[in-house]
Amino acid sequence: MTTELCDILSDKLPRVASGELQWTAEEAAHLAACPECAAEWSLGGQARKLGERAVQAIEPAQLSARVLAGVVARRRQDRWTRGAWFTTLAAAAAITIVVWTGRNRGGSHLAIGPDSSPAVSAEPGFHLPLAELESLDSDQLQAVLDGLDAPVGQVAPGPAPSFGDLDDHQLERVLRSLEG
Amino acid sequence: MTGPAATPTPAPADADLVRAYRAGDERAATTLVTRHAGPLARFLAGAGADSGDLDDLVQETFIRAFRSLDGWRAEAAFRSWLLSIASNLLKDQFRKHRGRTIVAIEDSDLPATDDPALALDAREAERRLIAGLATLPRLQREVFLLRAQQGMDYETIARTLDTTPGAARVHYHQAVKRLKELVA
Repeated sequence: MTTELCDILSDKLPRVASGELQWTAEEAAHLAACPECAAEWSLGGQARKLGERAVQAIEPAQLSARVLAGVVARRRQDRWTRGAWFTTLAAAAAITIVVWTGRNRGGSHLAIGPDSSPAVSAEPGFHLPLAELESLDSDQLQAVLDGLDAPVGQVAPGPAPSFGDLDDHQLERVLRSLEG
Repeated sequence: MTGPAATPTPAPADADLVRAYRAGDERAATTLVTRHAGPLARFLAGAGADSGDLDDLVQETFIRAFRSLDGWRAEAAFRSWLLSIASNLLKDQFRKHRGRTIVAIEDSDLPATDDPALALDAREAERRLIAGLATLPRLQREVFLLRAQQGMDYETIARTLDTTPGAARVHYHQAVKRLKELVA
């Protein structure tokens, strides 16, 4: 059964164990006579001895060197990880931009058809009269293709279409496109 | 005529050593390691660390501490902050090795003594204490160690283990009661 003195001893025990305080004569007598307090005191003594060999084996200078090397290595690893993340994000962003831009360009080319504007490309200086191609025969289409494949400045020889090859309806459409 | 007696230089406070280390003085880190490695190892040994892992755990605790010095508030004792890092480290380790709790103490961990009878008693007592500690809930075990082994008061224990002083007191008395049954 614990008494008020048992509580006092329990509260004081760590500070006596560390040498900061000492038992009074009354407390010392109680400790000797009370099995509960003696058991608690003994447990504290055993707890303070735990890991004795491990503590003796510690070489502070070596441990410190390993700790400092570990801190430096982790910092380097952190920096590398951050760099890898940044590179991955930048690559993902670049791919997204390329795909997005490509889709938008593809979208303007989708407007191919007889009712679409003769010049469907949004880029200035590059007017491809797609609607006109439908009215060309196979030789004329081949000539256009050869012209596209030829190096810049050279036009592949062949029966390139001229205004004389167009009928009235086609000439009318060309005129309308020139007048805007 | 003799000059005035040289007064011994007081050991630098932990806060000063931390400041010096952050300013680039690695000797300050060595002093901190030398000062706290022993108590840290004892705490880890009592809290259930495998004796084979003890050295690595002490090292890892210091590495984590030095890497997160920004998180240390100087009003808290450096050692209690260090022990809270060790406690979290052990928690992580137990979670990782789910099911494995506390290992049995090995003869090589026990204090050396010339008297065979005393050595046997010490070995048996320590074995029972380790076994008893292993049966306690984590918080009870760590509160007991911080008080009985590290000599902390309940306020400091509460800050270290993120609990209240009242709860720490109850955990301590429950631990002592249980250990008396198992060990004494």
